[in-house]
Parts: sequence; structure tokens; C-alpha cells
Amino acid sequence: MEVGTVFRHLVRLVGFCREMKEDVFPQTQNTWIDQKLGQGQNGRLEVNHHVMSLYAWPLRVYFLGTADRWLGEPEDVVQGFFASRLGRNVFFDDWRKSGLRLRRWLMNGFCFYLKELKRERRNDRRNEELSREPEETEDLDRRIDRAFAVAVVQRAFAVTRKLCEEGGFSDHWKIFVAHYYQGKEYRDIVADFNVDTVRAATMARTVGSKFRKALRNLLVRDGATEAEVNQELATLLEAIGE
Amino acid sequence: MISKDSKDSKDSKDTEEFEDLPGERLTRLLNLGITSEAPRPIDDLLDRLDEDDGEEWFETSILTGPLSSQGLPEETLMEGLGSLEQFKDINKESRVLLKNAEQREDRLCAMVAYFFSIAGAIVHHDTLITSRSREELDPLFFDLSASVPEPWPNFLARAIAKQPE
Repeated sequence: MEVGTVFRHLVRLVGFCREMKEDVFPQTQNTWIDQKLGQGQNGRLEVNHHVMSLYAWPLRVYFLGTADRWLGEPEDVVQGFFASRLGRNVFFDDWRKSGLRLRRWLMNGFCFYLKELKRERRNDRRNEELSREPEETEDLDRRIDRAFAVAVVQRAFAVTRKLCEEGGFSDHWKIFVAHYYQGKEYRDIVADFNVDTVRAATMARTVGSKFRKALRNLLVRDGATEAEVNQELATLLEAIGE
Repeated sequence: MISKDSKDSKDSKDTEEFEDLPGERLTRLLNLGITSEAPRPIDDLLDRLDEDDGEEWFETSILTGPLSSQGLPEETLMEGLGSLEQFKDINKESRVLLKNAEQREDRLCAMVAYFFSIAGAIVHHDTLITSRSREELDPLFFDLSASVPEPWPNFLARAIAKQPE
């Protein structure tokens, strides 16, 4: 391994250690994951499903930003990582002990997984030419934060839509999407729903509160306390603002 | 241990429609998550309903709390057999219990009766028996509808749908 690459890994490791020290949170925070893991095999499958569906995209984006792209198709590499790590009983115990946000913990584990893959592949001399690494051009922490921001918003959308559809609030949902996602003014929406603008705003706000709760729950599952969620959102906003 | 069940493809479909998230749109939606509000009293009730035994707790609550004082809740609320005066009485009783409750469970039980009596009066008598506005009540009914067991979400949906002329 080149000296520059070793140095970059060391810098990243120091960053992780610093974050571990500053970012300690009580174990009781991870209520949902703890509860599910305590429910045996089915609970574990539910946790795995949550992790794979929410974090696959950020890890994929992270992978594409590294010099390790030669290792394989992003989706295959990410799924290989999940298969390698999520089956380990100690995986989530170690995460809790780390004090890291789950996305950072997964990124950390993913880095080690990529190192393992590289070691395996480099034994095959045919890949030597492919393994020359271009310089990394972007702060990968911010890159994964941006991808995570997209993933949590999409997941919160899915959760909220399901609640609305199951509760018979399809019009509420459509007005919410038209206003908050498509950016339309209420006066341009109301004709399709036979309501006035005040009612439309109320309906959108009603769904907005569900969306807010879903979004905040996902960040709590990532390791933030309820009191830290606003700061966590500010971090994500900062990351996408660059 | 790692299995990709059918939920995966459903999840992908759920999020596909919202793949287009440029910075401005993403910023707007993330900002929606930020709140300066302190938790509302009803949030404690929603948390209780979301617990593993929430459904059982709710059934016990409506059968033993103020909602049962005027007959069976399903008959009073779902079938509309309760008079306006009965809904007002339930509402009054729930407010007294809410004020005097020392235990969390009693307070939450009173809250269920409070909101359901208001919803019942709206659904069956087109009458708002509280000084709270519909703008304030509808989001609360909606939140409750996502947490109460069947058939009550539909009852709350009827209350939301019934807007004053």
C-alpha cells in the first residue's frame, strides 16, 4: 500500500476516534433496534431490512467516491458487505459501544471490508494494473451525509405515504406532495381537490407532521437522541449546501 | 441470515417516485423535520399506543374509562347511538379526570375519551363541543388514527372528513 493511502486511512481513523469520544450517547437511545434484536430471528431480519434499504444508497455513493471502484459493481460490493457483516451477532453490539452514528459505523466497517477485498484481489496479479488508485477528490464524510440525506427523505416519504393510504388520507397525501415535493402553490392545487387554500394548507400540515415524525425517527435509529435530531438535520443541511 | 424479501422491491417502488431530489427540494424537506416545538401532550398518548401492548391497552381504556360511562363505546361512537348531551358529558368527565389524574395511564385514558367524544359529536351531530379549532384538531385526529387499532382509524377519518359547511 502506498504511503499516501496509509496516511489517508490513518487520518480517517483518527477522525473516527475523535468522533467516538465526542459523540457518546446512552445505549437506551437505540430503542427500536434493541427491541427488534431482542425479538429473535424475525426481529433481526427486520433490522437487517431497515439497514439495507436505508444505507445501501449512501454506501454505494461512498464507494463510487473512493479509489476502490475497480473492486466491482457498486451494488454487488455493497450487498457483499451487508452479507459479510450483518450476520455477525456482535455487529450491532459493537456499534452501540462505538458511540458512532450508524451511517458512520457502517462506513467504517465498509472501509475495512474494502481493504479485505483489495487484499484478496491483489493476490491476483491480473488486477494489479487496475488497482492503481486515482486521487480522491471529495470529502467522503460529506459525500455520505449527502447521500444519507436523500435516503432518509425518501424513506420518510415511503413511511408517510403508507400511513396516509392505510388511513384513508390519499387526498391529504397528494396535496402534501404537490406543495412540499413539487413546490406548487396551494392556489394551484385546490381545484383538483375541491377544497379552499386554507383547508389545503391544513391537510398538507397534517401530513407534514407525520413526515416530520418519520424523518426524526429515522435519525434516532441512526443513533441521535431526540434532543440531537435538530442538530443532526443541520449537519445534513450543511452537507447538501456545499 | 441476510434475506431480501418481497418488501425490498416494494420499498424500491415506494421511493422511485421521489428520486428527483435536487438541493433546493431536499433542503425544503429536511427543514420540515426541524422542530422548535416541545412535545405535545398527545405525543405521550401516541407513544403509549405504539407500544407492543398498545392495542390491548386502548381496548381496556375505552371499556373502563369515561368513554364507557354512557354505554358501550362502539355503540355510542361507531353506531352513533350517543346523543349530543352524552358526548358533552363524556367530554366533561374526561376533562375532570385529565385535571386530577396522578397516574400516567389515567391521564392518557382521559385523553382518549376527550378526543373521541369530540370526534363523536362531529361525526354524529355536526357539532364542535370544544373551543379548539378544526385546524388544531384535525392533525391530532390524524395522528391518533395512525396509532389506534381497527375500526377506530376509520371513525377518526370520518371526523376529519366532516368539515363545517
